[in-house]
Amino acid sequence: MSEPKNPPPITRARFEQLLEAYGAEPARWPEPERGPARALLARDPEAQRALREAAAFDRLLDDGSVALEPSAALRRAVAEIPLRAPPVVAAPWLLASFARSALAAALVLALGVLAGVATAADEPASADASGTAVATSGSDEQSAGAADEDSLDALVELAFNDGLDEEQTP
Amino acid sequence: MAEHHALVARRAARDLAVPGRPSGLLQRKQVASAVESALLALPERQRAAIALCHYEGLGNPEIAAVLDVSVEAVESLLSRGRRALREKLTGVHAQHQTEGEGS
Repeated sequence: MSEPKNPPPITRARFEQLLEAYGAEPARWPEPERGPARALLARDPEAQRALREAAAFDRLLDDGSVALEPSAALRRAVAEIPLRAPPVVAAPWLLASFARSALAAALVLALGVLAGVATAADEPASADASGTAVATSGSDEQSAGAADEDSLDALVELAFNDGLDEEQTP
Repeated sequence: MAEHHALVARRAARDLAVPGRPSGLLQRKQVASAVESALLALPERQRAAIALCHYEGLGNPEIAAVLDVSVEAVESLLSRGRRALREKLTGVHAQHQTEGEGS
């Protein structure tokens, strides 16, 4: 592994692209650009203004995620991710069987990626910091092996039934 | 779907603007309803990218792996998704900012 070089500075235009894509939270920005972005932020009032605007929109999205218990919606969003063979469907959330299989595949990938990040990148906090339904619901399963079909089925069953229960509650 | 979203967003913006309307949880539910409606109106890959980045906290490489796309494509999905959300939530966002400044 080579030591990271001093990253080049970024322009305000690139900084605004970061805000446009990732929002105002530096932890969401691509890691190599965080330093240069912070440096720009420290010296550019216009960048600071843009950051405040992005932060306000982040708060809207955050507030929007609190009151309605987003876990069901997020599980749906993860379940709808087309993997390798994107299906063309008008209302994918109605297709429970596809959603379950896609969720299973997404969980395998997400758990594998999180496990890989936690061990290979020498940043154990990164997996914990995600604090996600996917990560936390799967944390006990990681040691047993994410590829174990029985445990994966049980995990998916649990997650999906929870979501359905929440959605079906009047 | 788009009409439903617009209706929900307009209703939420209107309700939030009514003086004396109950605040707190009800307002947050109205905001949440508008945000959820806007999210559901996004193309599914944009919605998934937003959910994984903003709500699940995954980084670009992880999202790229999950969606089976390049890192550059992830940034494009996120940009288009957030831009679309901002357009759909303009009224709610303005009211939300006003409420935040007033509290």
